Amino acid sequence: MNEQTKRMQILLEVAFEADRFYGQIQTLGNKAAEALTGRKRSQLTNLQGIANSALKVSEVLDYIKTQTARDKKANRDHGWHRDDFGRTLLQFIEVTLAQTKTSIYQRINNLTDYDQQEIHLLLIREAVRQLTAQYEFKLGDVFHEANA
Amino acid sequence: MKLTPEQEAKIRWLSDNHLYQKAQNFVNHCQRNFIEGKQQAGILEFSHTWKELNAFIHHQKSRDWETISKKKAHYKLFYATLEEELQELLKLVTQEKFVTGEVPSIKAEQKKYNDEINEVAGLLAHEFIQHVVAEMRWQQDVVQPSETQQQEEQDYA
Repeated sequence: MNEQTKRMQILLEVAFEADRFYGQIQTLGNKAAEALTGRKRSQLTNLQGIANSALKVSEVLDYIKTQTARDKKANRDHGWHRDDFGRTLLQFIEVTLAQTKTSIYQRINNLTDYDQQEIHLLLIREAVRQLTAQYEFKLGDVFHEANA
Repeated sequence: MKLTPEQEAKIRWLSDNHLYQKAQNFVNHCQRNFIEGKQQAGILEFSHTWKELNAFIHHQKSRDWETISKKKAHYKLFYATLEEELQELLKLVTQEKFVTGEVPSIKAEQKKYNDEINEVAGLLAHEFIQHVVAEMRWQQDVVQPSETQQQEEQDYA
């Protein structure tokens, strides 16, 4: 299998899996809206930036840990610690997406360890993109309800 | 030493698949006897080069923490253990074949050889320290003490 075919197969599998976890991410996006509210929008934008540019899964994980710890320590009214948002997101990436990555790895022949890392990163980017969309959607909803 | 793209990829892979777990194990092993925020910022600051990081950790390990403050008496052990963890990274450099071949017999080449090992070890150490600090902050401020104990038991199982 040449590199191009392999790459195409990886992207197809990631897209397929992204549709499958869409429901779970909607729940997480709603949690994000409750926890962060509109005041911490930039932090989710930062997460998206980090996920898109990260070359390591651990960069994203370290960011979530640090943000959650910071908000919890400051005992803020809103933040990553509220409603266990940071912890749930961390677990989703560390456990659920890692399992999904392994399952994709097993379905495509001749993948390397580095391909596995790349698949995990692609899944994270897709999840964070969905998460941000649902967060914005939910915020709009909350705002609409408040003004109704 | 200019790293090849393959070597850079290997460092990233090791960061995710070896150093991240190693950092979690180290933090769990500390049993919540962590260092304060300023000290955490200090190791992060010095983690950009191998030489500076080692000098900083060695200096911190040598301080008489018990006299400084009873609450900080455990810092000595923390830094001593961290120093041991860093020494293991030196072995990782040769195990993972970042630097290959025998140790040169000529002195000038030996220095070059050691500099190359230290440079890669520095990059690995920077990754490791970032994971350690993130995990420490996470455990300190988010994780309940009872959860840490459970994790410690799982690590030893």
